[in-house]
Amino acid sequence: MVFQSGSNIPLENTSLFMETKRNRCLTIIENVFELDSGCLIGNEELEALGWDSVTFMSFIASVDSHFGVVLAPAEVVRCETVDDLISLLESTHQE
Amino acid sequence: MNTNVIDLTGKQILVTGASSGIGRETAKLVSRLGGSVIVSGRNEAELAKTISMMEPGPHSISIFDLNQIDEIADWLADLNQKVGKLDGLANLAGVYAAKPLRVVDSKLAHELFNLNVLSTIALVRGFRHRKIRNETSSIVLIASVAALIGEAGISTYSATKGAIISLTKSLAAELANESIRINCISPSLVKTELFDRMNSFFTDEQIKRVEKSHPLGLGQPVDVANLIVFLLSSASKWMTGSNLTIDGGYSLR
Repeated sequence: MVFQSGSNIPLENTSLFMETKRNRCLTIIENVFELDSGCLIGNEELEALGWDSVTFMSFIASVDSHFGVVLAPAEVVRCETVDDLISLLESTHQE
Repeated sequence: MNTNVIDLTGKQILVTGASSGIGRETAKLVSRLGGSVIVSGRNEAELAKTISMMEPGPHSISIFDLNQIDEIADWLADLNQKVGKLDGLANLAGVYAAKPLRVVDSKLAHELFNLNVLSTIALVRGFRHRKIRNETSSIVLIASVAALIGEAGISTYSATKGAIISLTKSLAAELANESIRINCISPSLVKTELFDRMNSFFTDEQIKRVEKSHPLGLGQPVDVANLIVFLLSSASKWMTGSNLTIDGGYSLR
């Protein structure tokens, strides 16, 4: 468990931590689509970003490398937006 | 009179990657053909399971991680002290990765080349030593149909398997004078534990498409093991430097 300095509230319960994790997800997705850092908001359509078999495999492989979890391809294929991918990752991966 | 064309009676074979899949099936088949086997891998429990599935004989287990490349020669020398000289080597240890180029880093590339290529070079180098193997011996390496047919997302893995085919040809030329034959096999997808792990990266639709691209369907471990024991036996004594494709028709397209 990680605690923020000077606080007895577990960091996992703070919005700061949630934001950090969300940012890590966004960074992974930006790297997969080779976009500039910080350019994604979350509501972007994956198809418009260039979602294809290579980016699909790259996303699953990157999540595996960074978080140590293998997302179910059947779940990933149902995602339509960047936020969908982040929600899937958050529901699958508990730190 | 033994009328089997493929006979390994009295032969001692080292099978790496024998804790599962094609390696396990090869060990079983060698034992059925009269050979004794040293089953090698990292997982003792699984290796013991392989032994329990084999015909009884003077088989043994040797736990070794082939990633320890610089230790391979000593390991083979130690094995030689324990079980004597070898007549054959079937190298089934290998690692697979489905990663598009944009997520390939040097760590992954090193991991794949270390186990799939560098450990193979060290293993053949150790095996060929006169103290380790008998006068006439055979080596079987595993390449992949991926080395011959392009598929997106597996370029680094494919490159390691292409290296095995090249290695086989040059080593065959170099080792023929020492009465060592070396051949490799390029299988397509075989239903092993590795295949099950690979499946976790693909949707059902993608898997169905892969299955359809094999006119004879996906392979079973024994399909490849049959070819391995042929190459280990004297039935293939006029073969060296060959790469045999066994892929259910996948590469016909």
